[in-house]
Amino acid sequence: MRSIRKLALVVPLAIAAAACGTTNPPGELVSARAAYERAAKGPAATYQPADLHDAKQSLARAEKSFADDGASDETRHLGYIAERKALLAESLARTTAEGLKQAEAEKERQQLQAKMLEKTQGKLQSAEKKAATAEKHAAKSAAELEAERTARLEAEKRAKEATEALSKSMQVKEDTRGLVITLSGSVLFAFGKSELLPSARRSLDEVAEALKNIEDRSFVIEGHTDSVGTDADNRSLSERRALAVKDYLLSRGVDASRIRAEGKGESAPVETNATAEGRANNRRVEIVVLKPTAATGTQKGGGPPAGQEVEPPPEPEPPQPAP
Amino acid sequence: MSRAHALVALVMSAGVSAGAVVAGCGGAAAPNARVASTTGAITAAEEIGAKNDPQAALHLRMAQEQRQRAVELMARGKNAEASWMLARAQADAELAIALAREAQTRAAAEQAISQIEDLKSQL
Repeated sequence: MRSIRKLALVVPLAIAAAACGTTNPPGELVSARAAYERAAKGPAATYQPADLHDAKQSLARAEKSFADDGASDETRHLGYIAERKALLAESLARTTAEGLKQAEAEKERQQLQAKMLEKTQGKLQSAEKKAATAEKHAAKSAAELEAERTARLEAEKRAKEATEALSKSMQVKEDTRGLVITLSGSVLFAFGKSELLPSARRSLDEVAEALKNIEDRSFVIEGHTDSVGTDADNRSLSERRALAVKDYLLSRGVDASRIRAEGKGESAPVETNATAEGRANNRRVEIVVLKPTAATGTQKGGGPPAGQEVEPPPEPEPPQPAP
Repeated sequence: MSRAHALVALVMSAGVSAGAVVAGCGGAAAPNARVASTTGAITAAEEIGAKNDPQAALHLRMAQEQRQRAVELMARGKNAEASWMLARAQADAELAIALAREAQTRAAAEQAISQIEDLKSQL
């Protein structure tokens, strides 16, 4: 009986002690306190005040349970839940902060893209301008080419008309050298002389006009003789005569840079020298309108190069007539 | 005091602290509504991809285990304890959802910043 009475007194005390007397909070409550303290000092206070308040209230319930019941199961459950609430508030706050960072980054990205677009548009405009300028130049070049072509056709037409006019008063033919205008020696010079006769001027004026209308060609004035007299004398005479014709043509405006004179002497007869008629035909001056390839080449017949004139030789003795 | 009265007194004095447990053990209704809301939170955490983030996955697993424990407790009639388990499970599931969202938002922010660096290098 006495032991039972003692037991009846001790047991409730022991239970009461077990229920209320411990001062060590359970691990869950300790964790909850730390989690809340950290959350309250962090961005949750700014970004998630409502969730932080919820965590505070949850912690308060756990604290009350601990105060009332000590480290009971309820205190541990409430502490566990309070810790989760504090962690939740922290996580939500970090998400908000990251969301703001993302929004700022998005804004900056749009600004950069606008800058890039502006830069690209600038480059495009510059390229378009360059293309337009190049197109303009090309169009101009095309126009210039067309103008050149038209001018060339006009020149060829004038040359053709001029040579057609010439053929009425002198011989004009085409050979391997180019267009050859042949003037009779007797029309141009007195026998054995190299001064132009007055009657020669009209023919040579026609020739000068024709040559002035022929563009992009060079001319060679060739003096020829018959075979009467020495070769040296004939060459000298033919050279002086070629120079005389050239000087006259220059005086009529033919471009000096395009014309040269050569004396061929008796070296290139067109007919036999055995007859008077043949000799008359051999005594001639040929004005050759050189073909383009020949125009840039060297002189034919062994004479001096183009541009270098023959020094007029001294006036020789006239040939002795045949006995 | 007779021995029987002492025993009753003993039981009665012990019942104050146990009563709650007894009441908790035997008297609470089955927390079916809480089971439904906890299951909903866990499903939401799974669907948002909580498994893809280590911290979120941890709390998702804790939520799942605690819900399972609650179901077992309910089967044994321990509804009060099951309610606590469900409350803990729901807290873990909600935290798993938040942590998963945080990880996704951080990744999106990092990607946006990376794009900015790329654009700056092109300008």
